[in-house]
Amino acid sequence: MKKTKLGEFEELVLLSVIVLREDAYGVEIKKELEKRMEDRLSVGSIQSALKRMEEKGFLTSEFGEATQKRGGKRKRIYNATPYAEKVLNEIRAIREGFWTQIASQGLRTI
Amino acid sequence: MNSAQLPKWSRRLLRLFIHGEYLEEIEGDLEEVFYDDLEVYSVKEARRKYSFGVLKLFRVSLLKNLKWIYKLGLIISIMRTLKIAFRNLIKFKTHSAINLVGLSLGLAIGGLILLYVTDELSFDDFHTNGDRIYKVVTTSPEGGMETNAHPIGYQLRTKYPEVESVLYTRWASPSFKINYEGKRYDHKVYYASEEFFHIFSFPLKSGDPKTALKDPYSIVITEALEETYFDGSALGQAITLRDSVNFTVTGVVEDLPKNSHIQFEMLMSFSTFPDFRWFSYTDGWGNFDVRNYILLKEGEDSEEFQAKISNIYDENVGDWLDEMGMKFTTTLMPLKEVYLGDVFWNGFGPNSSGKRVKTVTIIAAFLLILACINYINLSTARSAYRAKEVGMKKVVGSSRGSIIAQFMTESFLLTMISLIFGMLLIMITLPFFNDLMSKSYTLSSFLTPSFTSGILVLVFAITFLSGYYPALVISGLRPLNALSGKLDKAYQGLNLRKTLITFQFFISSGLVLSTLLVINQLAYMQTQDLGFDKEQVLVINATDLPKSTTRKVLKNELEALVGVHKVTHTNALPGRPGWQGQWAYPGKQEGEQVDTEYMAIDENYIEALGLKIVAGRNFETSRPSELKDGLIINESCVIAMGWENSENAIGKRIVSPSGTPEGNVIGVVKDYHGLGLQEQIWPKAMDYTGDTYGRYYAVKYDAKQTYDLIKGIEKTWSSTFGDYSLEYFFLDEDFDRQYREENQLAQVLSIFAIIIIIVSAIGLFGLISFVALSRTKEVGIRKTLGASIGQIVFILSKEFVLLVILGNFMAVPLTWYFGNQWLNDFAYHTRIDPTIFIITIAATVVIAFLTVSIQTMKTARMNPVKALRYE
Repeated sequence: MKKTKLGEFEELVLLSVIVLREDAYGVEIKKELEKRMEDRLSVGSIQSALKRMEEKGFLTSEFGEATQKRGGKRKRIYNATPYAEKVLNEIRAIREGFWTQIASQGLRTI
Repeated sequence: MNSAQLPKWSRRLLRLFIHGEYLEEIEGDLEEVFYDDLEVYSVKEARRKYSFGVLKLFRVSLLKNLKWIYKLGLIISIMRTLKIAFRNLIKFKTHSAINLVGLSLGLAIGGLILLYVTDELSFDDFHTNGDRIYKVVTTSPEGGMETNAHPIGYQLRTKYPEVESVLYTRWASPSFKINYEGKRYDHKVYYASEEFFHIFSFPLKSGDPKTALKDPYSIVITEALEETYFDGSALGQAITLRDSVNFTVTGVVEDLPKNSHIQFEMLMSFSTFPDFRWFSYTDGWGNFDVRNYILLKEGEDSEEFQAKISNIYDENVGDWLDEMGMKFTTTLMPLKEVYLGDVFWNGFGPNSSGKRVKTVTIIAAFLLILACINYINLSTARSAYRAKEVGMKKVVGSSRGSIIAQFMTESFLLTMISLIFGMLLIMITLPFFNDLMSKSYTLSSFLTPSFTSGILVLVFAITFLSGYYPALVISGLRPLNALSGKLDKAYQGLNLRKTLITFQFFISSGLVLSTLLVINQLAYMQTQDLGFDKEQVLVINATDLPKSTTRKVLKNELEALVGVHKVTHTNALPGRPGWQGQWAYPGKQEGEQVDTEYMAIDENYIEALGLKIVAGRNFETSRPSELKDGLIINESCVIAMGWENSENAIGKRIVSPSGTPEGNVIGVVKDYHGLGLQEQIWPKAMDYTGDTYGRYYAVKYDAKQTYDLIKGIEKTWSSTFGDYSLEYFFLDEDFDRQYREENQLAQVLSIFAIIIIIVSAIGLFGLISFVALSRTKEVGIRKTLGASIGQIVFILSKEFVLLVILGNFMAVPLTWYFGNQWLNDFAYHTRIDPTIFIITIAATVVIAFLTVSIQTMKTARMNPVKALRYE
């Protein structure tokens, strides 16, 4: 895992995109993360993470349907690229490596 | 659902700055959140959240391409102006570099001084009732002191309704050390009465500010001390001082701000004090050892109150004071003056000097002005070369205002670049500056609002000072003249430039002169024969040691060490006076008293310090009656007692109301400068009481092996007073502390002088390059007619060198006058040496001439054909 430059928050957003599938657009991602993190998030923070990841090639997007609630504006549905999945797997492998070792050392639980 | 509920302004803002591609999606998201919120919150709250959400969208990744800014006409013109300004800076590289160096130096020094001054002026700013707090001091025609007689506080407290609160504080003996796990630790400790936390706003972390210092054996400590000596809260815990005295911690004060003139680590309740020394609230008019602060009631006029209390001493003990020929006045000192005041020592923490603050501010201001002068000179000199640009602009319809704006932008841009360089310089030189001013600033000290606003004011002042005049001159050019290249002499601002150069060198030379003057006086003080020998004397501080026979043992053992010549046990050493102000009379107590310095010495003192006996003899252990009743005095004392000459004084009797000094004169020592050359020599009376009042052991040694000596002393120490920490110093280093202020001044002045000369010289360098350029044709003609290079250099340089000399001649009388005033503060001082004037004039003229000739040489060497073709 060399220069992937996936931030901690970006990683969380990316994971939500994968979990939400067809529903992965701004507000839905925000809700999903708020639920899991038990914290309030702003539209801005989600949107800027999405745009950054799209630029870096972690995400692709296309316009979805418009709804009344959105004042007739269309949603943009995000999709994780295979590259993103690869990077996520790498990150996970590295973390798990650490945790296995920590567990085997029998240190205090964290 | 009604979209009109959305806040209009936020939506517009959103559309203004969000990247077009993202707009639909993000707007949709926000609206969706808004309608979700409507179900939970009130309309108002949801709208607020929406607007807040819009603001949170200001992120680089979401912003529109910055081109939208161009829609605003003003900004585009600013951008263009900046671009042109930048091009101009690059085009005239030497010119810009000179200005950059000057302004960067100016801003760096200005920034450092600004920091120093704002810090010094911020002292004691944090007290809530600061404007009503006064320190009460006792003044007298001779000067006075910062302490008061015992009853002053009580008088103020009981007889004057204007006073809300009176604080008693007092110095505490350094023997009050903390005992902790078998060791003693030294901390700054004072006595203070219960009003302390009422008058001053030092917040308590724990404890009741009203009662913390009320009961005897209460003590307030700082947070830092609490952390050091206690696990958790110290409140209510016991603390042992002075080996056996137990105090209860009744308060923990938050660590004191650095900019407080009151610095302590422990405060013992004042009510404890009478258990250790005699003290009376109503009696003791001759005991000046209490420091008082008062808080006036709101709305009281301090001047009226001052008039009322001036005569407290006279009203109570006037007769007694008249008899003694003394006059005391009770004086109020506003809180803010305690730290910066130059009159009194501040026994409660750090002391500064308003004079020093003023001096450095003035010099830093001069430096900035000089750097601005460079800018003005160069810009106006250059105006000829920019005339075409201005003429062109005018022809196509530029207003004068926009041309002024163009030139001001240039000076602003340059100032901003200089600011960056200046800040870098500050970062690099900060450790050195700290050293110089004995401060401990860090980069975070610069992040105060007062500093940042100060530096902004500086930047704008410099931009205006340096940019406005040239802008005005250049923009005033008439387009026709400007385009045809025919400029009026006046437009080139020759006279102004001449005046400014003269002023620059007036300041430079004045500063160089002052520096040399201070260095001269310093050299004088350091080379003058002081009358005693401070080399090879090691001093052991024995102030804290108990009075016991072990002191005698220590002295004998020290004397037995290899390489030790003599050991003396005494209360007074050069730089560390004995009891000053002891009254004594010749023969009987009548007439005017002599203020003597009482010194407790022994038979080795005279020899250890290399003093000379001019009449009579030293104390000798073989003559016990002389040890008991003999006195050795100095020549000043002989004169003060009215005994004309030293021989005459032998056998005369000195008496004193306090019994110290009292005895028959057995010897007279030659006067010596025990307090350096700033102070007059006190009449001294030395008594054979070293073992009773001794505070120091001075060890005169003659070995070069100080290392072995110190090891020997440490061994001796551990066998006698091993449980006290050994503190020693060398007399010569200790004595030189007295010259610290002057040394500091000399250093500061030298640095400023060098920088100011550099700034002036490079300014001259830049200017001359323009002047030489404008006289290219003249030089060409002169050369073809047969002038030598030397002659041409002379012709071109003459005028400027004359200006420099003129500046010098203006500086001389002023320095002479103020220099003499400064010197008169020293009791013994050098005369102003006329050679310093010659040196300064020669140095500045040579520097100016060299600067000028480098440039003029270039012009003079040019091939005349080229010169004549020029233009």
